[in-house]
Amino acid sequence: MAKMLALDCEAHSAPAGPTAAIEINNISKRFVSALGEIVALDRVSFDVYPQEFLSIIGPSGCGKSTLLGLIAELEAPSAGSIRIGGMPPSRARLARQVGLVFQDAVLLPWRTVEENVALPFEVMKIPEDQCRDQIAQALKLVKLDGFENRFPHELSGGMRQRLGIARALSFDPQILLMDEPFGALDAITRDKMTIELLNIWEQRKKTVVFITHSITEAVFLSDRVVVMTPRPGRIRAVIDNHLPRPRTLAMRDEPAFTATARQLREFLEYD
Amino acid sequence: MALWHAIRQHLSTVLTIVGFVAVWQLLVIAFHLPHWLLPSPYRVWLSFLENKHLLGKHVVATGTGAISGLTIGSVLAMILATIMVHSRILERVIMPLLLIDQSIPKLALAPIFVIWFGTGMTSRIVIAIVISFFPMIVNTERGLSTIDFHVKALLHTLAAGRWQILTKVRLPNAVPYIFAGLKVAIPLSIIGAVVAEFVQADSGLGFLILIAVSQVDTPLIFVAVVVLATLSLAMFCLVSVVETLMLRRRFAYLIPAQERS
Repeated sequence: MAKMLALDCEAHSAPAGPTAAIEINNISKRFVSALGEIVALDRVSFDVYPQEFLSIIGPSGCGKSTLLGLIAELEAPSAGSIRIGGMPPSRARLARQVGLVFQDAVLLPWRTVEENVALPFEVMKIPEDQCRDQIAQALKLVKLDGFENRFPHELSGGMRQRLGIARALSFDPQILLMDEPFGALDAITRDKMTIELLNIWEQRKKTVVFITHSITEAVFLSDRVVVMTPRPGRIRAVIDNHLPRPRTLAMRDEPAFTATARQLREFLEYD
Repeated sequence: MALWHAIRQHLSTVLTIVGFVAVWQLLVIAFHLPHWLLPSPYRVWLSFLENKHLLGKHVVATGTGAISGLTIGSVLAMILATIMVHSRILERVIMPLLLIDQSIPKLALAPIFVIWFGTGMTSRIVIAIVISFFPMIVNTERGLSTIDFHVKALLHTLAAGRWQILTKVRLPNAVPYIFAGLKVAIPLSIIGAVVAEFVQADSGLGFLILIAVSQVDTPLIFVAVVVLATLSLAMFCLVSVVETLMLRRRFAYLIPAQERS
């Protein structure tokens, strides 16, 4: 009997294949509203691999932002479990494993560019002289060096968004969660930012979960794309994207790109 | 250049005041109004010169009461607002009390305060506290609590503690709101001090008005009122200057673009 128990334990603790950076197991999220119960997410499962760029695409109301909120532990799932680097989200958060980027840059307007990037270090109580280099590096990475003493309202929309990304990267979290980060930008700035994000990702090799409703953006950026359907939010398909890297804007006209984009569109229009 | 700019900016204000005084003077002359009914500005000025040796101690009495009351009331309001923001339960306890407090005409309570705290400085301060407290707590609470959902989410992912959220986000966010509250509370605190003096006092501009009324010395009443207005304006200007100095750099985004220098 004792032996059997020991075997049992072993079987459970053994890793099943390569360890996922994020494991999402059978997640459901229900909200109770005045109109009754709303199922935002219904039994959603997938893994995100280490250093993978994964996009989640779907029409509004498919629960993709809710899903991101669950990974960031802004809310708790109604059912199912999430593991980040093998840890529950609460522990991952305390270990500062997660950087968050929103559609708006979400900056503190009374802080300078540099002070905004310094915020995570201040919260972690890291003395100024020990994080100065990391702050400078993060600003350099998003090409905001030289703007350290400006205030957010003095920057353009694209610059503000880059500042938000610099802040999320500054403290070197393993995972970057991005909720439609370029959704509020004009098309030209958006293209530029997409290229810059890929450069940053290739330099820093983070695990990225990227939420978008742009097919082009999803195909251009991702290793894999999760397609979701609305009400209730479910996974329709997970698509592997074999487009070679490094990627350039010109690739968007190549057959490999358009084929993946068409496949995505078909899944989105499937109803 | 800067001086010329300042003069031009304030020229309209100065002209308006001069015009107002001139019209007042002309009306009194034109209608032969007796000075016990409406004294001319010139008459008020004469009364001021005649009584100015008296004014000092009354200004100090009323001013000390108003400023102390405003200061204590504001500090109490800010502390209580901070507590409300951090505790749902205390918020639910404090909120109805605040509403009751705001529904009571506090000036009607002035006689009670004078019975409780005597005719000296304490009554002035207490009434000034009670009356300046409400705008301060309402504004501070608003400033501490109107934090964007995404900012909260950001601090949550950084695992920031309550104290850090208070000092790094809530308090800086509340600074402009606190100044707005102060600007409402300043004239109220002066009203509070004067009302205490109306009930019973042996000094202060409110006391001076009562004496002047008993002697039908209308010009002196006007002197006291103008001095009170000046006191209020001086406090308002002081707070505005501090506000500009504090907000100029970090809160420039609150100032409309065309007004930024």
